[in-house]
Amino acid sequence: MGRGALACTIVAVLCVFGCDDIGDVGDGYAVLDRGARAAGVVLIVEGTTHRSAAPVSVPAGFVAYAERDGAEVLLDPGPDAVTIVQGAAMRAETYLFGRDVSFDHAWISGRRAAVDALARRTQADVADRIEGGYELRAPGLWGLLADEGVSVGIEEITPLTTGPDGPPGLRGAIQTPYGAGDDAGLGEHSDFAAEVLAEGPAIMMGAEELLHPAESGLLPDISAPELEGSTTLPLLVGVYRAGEHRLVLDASGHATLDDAQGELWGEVLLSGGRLLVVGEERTLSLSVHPGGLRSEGGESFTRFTGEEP
Amino acid sequence: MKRRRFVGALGAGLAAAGVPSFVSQGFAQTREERDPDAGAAAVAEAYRRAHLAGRPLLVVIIPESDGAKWERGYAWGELLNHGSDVQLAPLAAVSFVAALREDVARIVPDLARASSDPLAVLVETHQIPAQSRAIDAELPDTNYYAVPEDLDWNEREAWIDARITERIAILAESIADAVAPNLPVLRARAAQQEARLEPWQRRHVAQAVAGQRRLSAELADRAAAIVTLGASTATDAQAEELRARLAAAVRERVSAGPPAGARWARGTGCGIQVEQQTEEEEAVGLMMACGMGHVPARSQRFLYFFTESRY
Repeated sequence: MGRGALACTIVAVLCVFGCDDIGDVGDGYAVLDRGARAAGVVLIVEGTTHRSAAPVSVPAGFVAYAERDGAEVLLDPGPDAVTIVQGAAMRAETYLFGRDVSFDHAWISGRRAAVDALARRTQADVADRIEGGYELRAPGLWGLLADEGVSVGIEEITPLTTGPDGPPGLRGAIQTPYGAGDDAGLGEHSDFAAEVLAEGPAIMMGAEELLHPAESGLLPDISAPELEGSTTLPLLVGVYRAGEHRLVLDASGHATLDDAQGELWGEVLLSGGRLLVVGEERTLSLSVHPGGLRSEGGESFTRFTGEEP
Repeated sequence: MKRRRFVGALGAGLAAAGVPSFVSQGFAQTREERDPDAGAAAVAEAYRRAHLAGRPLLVVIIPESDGAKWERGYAWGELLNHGSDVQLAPLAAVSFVAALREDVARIVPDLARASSDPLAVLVETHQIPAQSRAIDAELPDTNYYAVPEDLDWNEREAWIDARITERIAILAESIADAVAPNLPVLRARAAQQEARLEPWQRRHVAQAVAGQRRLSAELADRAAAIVTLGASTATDAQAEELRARLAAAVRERVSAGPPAGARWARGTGCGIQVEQQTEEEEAVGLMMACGMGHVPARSQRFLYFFTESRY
């Protein structure tokens, strides 16, 4: 039995008596937000690399850090706390369970089926959030999430506050504006990368936005009761080309690839910071990078906008 | 008045007037010359930008048929340039692009199942898979062949004018039905846009909806869905004011430029002038030869959809 599962059992008993926010006492947690994962940031805890949206348990004395392209940020959530690693810049913010955020609640974005599956595994209740996404509720939830991991279709897990007189509110990365330093080194296609990698509903105003305020400059997070599901995939819809090879990600959530191995048509999924095209005969794994997508084989697909260079 | 006096008036008339082939060579290529990905890429870019703006995307379908290209171009021009506040207001909540159905279908595969070219497709942009809805209606023809023979000049003018009014109304209602069909959809669209606004913008919009502030065209454009929702529950006078602001935002967009994938052009019966020409186009004098016809005032600025050099 994992620590989280054990905690769940204990908490389930304890909570009969009305307690809240009791989990793996002493453990800290670290979690990558969507922007960090999309940028290729990984969590390394005691030498084990984690890429998924799941929180990772960081017991006292464990060495944990976030890493991207050789750059590292040491993480020290401390006991009963969670550190959220945000964006390509790996900005780390730590919240204390029981004081800042709830150990028993989490905000989750992703496909409904994946969220439901995770809820079953953690025996959590699921509720739609008014701002989009879902709320999971279960005693000791964060410990369970760390033990269970998450599957394809889960994009992001974020802690929630417990308000004194209302339901939990969003916290952490969801409310964190896109930092000025996050686009450092993204290169000539930084607009595209910044949009895709951005993690908050903040607004970045620049010359383009001032000229065309209604059509640009707004970072992607959707908020509406029925606006569930991926908030990143709409930004990836497009035509990508690598020499003679062509990849079209359409608005139905499918992709058509024509490359050296022939044609591939399949469903598009986001998992572990990568974009997967799952066809009947093969699966193509791509990472988002400035200006386009890159396959595991190193083929770089550049986004084609239809305009002459 | 002989029927031939109306040659060149609209639609097939203009095509029959004889259009020099250089007209489109400055800004378009034949299908063979065209980058095969350009159209789909343009739709994808429009989709992405609409998502960022928190709006659905209205894809104006460029029909395959040349005759339909003229008729559709006039119909859109009449609505966008001469629609009333009530008719234009729903359009403030959408982003536009114009494209051939085959190009749209690569990004919105549902469209591949359509049996003919709809007037437009409304594509939701808040999530994947995206929902899409074809917008179609039978629009009245105003071309030479449609005009009754036994009418004199004034009667023909009045007949065409009435058909144009009817065409604007049908197109506007079809779009409104798709963009703002009911309160739950309005609320969802408003929520999608609200997430894109800064606190001060939300405050200003709320004050405007309450009648405490005049809304700028820019903010009306950016928060069109919220304003539309506000107008649906406001007093008649306040709703009228809000719709006027939304319509003003649409007119500002219309005057600034056409939807991506189309061009604004003006035709008076003696030549067609394509707007916003490039230096290259200006250098070759991009203007069609005189068609010796008559174009009703409300049809004179229209969307020019031709993409092949034979026109």
